[in-house]
Amino acid sequence: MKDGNRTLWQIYRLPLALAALSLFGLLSALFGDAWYDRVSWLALAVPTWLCLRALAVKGPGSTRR
Amino acid sequence: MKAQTLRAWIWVHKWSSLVCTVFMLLLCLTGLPLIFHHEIGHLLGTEIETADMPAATPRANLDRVLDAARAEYPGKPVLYMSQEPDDDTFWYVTLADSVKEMERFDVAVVDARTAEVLGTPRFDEGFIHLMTRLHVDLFAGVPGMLFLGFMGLLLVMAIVSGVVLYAPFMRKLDFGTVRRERSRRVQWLDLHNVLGIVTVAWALVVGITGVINTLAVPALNYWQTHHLAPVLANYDRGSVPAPHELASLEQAVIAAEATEPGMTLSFVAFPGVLGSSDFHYAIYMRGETAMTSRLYHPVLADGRSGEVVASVPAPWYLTTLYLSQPLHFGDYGGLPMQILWTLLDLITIIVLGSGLYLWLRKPSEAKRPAEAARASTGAKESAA
Repeated sequence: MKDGNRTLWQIYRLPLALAALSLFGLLSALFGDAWYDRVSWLALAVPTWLCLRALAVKGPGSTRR
Repeated sequence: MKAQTLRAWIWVHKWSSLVCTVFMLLLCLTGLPLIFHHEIGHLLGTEIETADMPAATPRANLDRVLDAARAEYPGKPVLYMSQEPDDDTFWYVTLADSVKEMERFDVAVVDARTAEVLGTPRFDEGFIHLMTRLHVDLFAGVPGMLFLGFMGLLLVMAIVSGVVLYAPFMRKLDFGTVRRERSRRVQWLDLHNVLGIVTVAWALVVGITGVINTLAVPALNYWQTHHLAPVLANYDRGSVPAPHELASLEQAVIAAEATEPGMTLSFVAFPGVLGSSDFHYAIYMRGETAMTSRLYHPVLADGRSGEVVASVPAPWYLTTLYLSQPLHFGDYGGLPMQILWTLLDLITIIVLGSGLYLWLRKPSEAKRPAEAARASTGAKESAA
């Protein structure tokens, strides 16, 4: 973590990229089967995996008050 | 952001979420088994299994299918005939005491090749039915659906305000930071922020499509009176045809297929029911691709003569409704997508729960840091 204020672009660029990836994944499987489905799984797996990692590695289970 | 603007967004986020959180938790919990309702049906033995036959086995005449179903429930009118999107080996024939019935239905499952009745499952009792009703209308019919739709709108407001509030919290933090060295509350705040922002697109899509799905009944009623009625202005035949007056459905479907070549039969709404007119079979055709198989195109055939009267493409609001269904259910990408839907649903439960926790565990006034950090602290306190 660095000091100093981040710009809106710095704050939102990764969330925006993940949102675009998620939407791409949600729509992909709607437009076709087989490969479209596989692309969809991969795209939706990225945000899901990031969440699970945040919970597993950094979850409050290992709290130190 | 000005302190005043920030406080306004905090107010929106706090109250929109507080009002809807209990219902959203209910929807997330009841939605979990619904993602796997077919699989659960197989486990419980309530799912219909048909015998394997060669793909080229001829399909039974639809009138024989209907007669078989009527024999199971003598005297009751047929309301709908439908099939699973991914299994055309059997038909569900839905009957009830009257064509206007909205809650108690009888269903006969009929083999599409042999016209034998395979079972008469009850879809209005049991675990999946309980979950469905709690998820769809809280056992309160259309008002219940609309109420949940309004709660969904509040969720959308909570998500949008949450995205706006994300920036003031992340000014000094890297993406994904969870400050382990800080108090339990700060850790939950960080998790609430990271889980919320990472799943925001999925949550918005499932939330908005859920709201759209709650409008299904009003949308179909509107379609009947404003879209269908003008097309059928000259077809007032006095009354809904009695079962013995109905023309052959087999012939009507053959005529409908000739009207829309390249499309296949999806389901039929009988004269008098929601989704049809009082005098017509509404024969819903669908396309063959992943996308067009979700887009239904009704062909109307006179219920007494079986003649095709009109082919009416769905208006934009029904197309929106049809596309909202798969995007809400997560049933259009196989088992991996169902698993992703489950995980994202569970993550949403954590976001909702942590939001509630953050609101319940506001730090006391005495602990509030320097005045300079006031706006940001206020935001944290109210992030619930």
